[in-house]
Amino acid sequence: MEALQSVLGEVLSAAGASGAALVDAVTGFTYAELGDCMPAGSGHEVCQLLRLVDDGLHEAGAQGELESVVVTGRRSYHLVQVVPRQGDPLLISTLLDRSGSNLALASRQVTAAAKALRV
Amino acid sequence: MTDSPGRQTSRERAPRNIPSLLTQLRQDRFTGAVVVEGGSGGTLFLRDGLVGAVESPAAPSVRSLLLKSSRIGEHDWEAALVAVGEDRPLAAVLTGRGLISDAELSVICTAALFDGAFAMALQPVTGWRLDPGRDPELGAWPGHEPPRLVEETAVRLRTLREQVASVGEFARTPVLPAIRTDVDGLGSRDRTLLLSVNGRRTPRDLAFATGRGVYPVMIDLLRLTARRFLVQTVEPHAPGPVVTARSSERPAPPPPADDAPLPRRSPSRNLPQSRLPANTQAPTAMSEEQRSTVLRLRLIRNALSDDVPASPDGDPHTADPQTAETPTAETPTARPPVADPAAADPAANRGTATGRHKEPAS
Repeated sequence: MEALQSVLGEVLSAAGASGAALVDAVTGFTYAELGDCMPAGSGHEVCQLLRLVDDGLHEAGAQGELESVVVTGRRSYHLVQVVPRQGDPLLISTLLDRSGSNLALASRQVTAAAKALRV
Repeated sequence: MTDSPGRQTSRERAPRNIPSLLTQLRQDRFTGAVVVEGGSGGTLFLRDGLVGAVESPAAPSVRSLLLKSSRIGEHDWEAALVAVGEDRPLAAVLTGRGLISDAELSVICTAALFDGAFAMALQPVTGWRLDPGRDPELGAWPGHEPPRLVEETAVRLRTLREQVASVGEFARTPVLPAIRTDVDGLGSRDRTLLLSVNGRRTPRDLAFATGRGVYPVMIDLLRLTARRFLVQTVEPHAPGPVVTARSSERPAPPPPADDAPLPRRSPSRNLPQSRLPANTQAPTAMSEEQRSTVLRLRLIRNALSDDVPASPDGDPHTADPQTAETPTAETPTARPPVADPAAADPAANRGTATGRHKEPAS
């Protein structure tokens, strides 16, 4: 458990990040969360969002696998990053304050943190 | 040692008593195993009343998740077992040898715990006994609060019930593949699952065969069925019977709910000879809404296709700004994200009646 918290701690250290959660991409189960994740919705909802986009894209003829979805609000970003692994993929859902964050840097930081999840 | 005999006498109500048993054990800060009988049975492992592992023949254990998915080789596993000592538990050996990361093991143990609980919820409970002092091979320690376990299991059952009439029947019915040649559009996970389908395996068998949880496999099977890669073998969710509160609110859900359940996408080509029941209005009824979502999503299709195929590990930040442009939610915290119809969609797919009822309002 602490290992998961430390992964999320790294994500939260990104400038402007206010909450992060590690969610199962298939079941929507939240393995761990840190900070305030409420505005992003429950793990099940985050998972549903990803599935909707993913299924829709493939329905529209897209090839390849989805890597991230960013929802941009006026004041915040909700970044959902897919973490591929040997089993079912995971999602790292991060809430960022737009005024204090750099989306690209935050995304890189999430990717870096996700590496700690791998074997 | 058998505890609380009073509860066991009323067998019809026994399944509902496992949660209350766990609550009581949490208060007593019980450490040890709860052996549950009924169906294929199962064992819950507790420390201080927190549930850290569930082992049941009904769902793959942590060991089979690790070995079947070839995350850890048989040889390494055997060697690790030998190295286990009094002060060196298996988890420490596995991570110490670099076979698996702490975080990964923790994810797998937690997934197995909740999947085991889900699988056990599908079978009848005829009784239980407490066995203090027993420890599981691997567990998600310090463990989870019983209410969380109960709540998550209920969510899983509810999710499936929204799509199939009987979850238990779905778990026991062999999955039949549809004849399709266009599997290119499928992700590797779906393709692996589809390749394991041989017409005899049930969802549970498929979970064991692929080294995945029973619930995630069932979810994926339903998705594949909706996309017509599998033949619909179990009755889709029937309206009415289960939902008492809702049906009293709106007495006329049968017709709409009837067409909402399983078929979420209408691939529109290469329809297999799937034996859908007579009431197959679903695809047509859904399609308009679905189609508009698909159209909207086409806008960001290119962003996705461009950066993915080459290296899944590539820098994500190149893609993100593009993806980010698509939606602009009014409120910063709004989670209905990418597009509002998109947000309306899952509701229509899953909570059949709810989604439908929103339509006239908007």
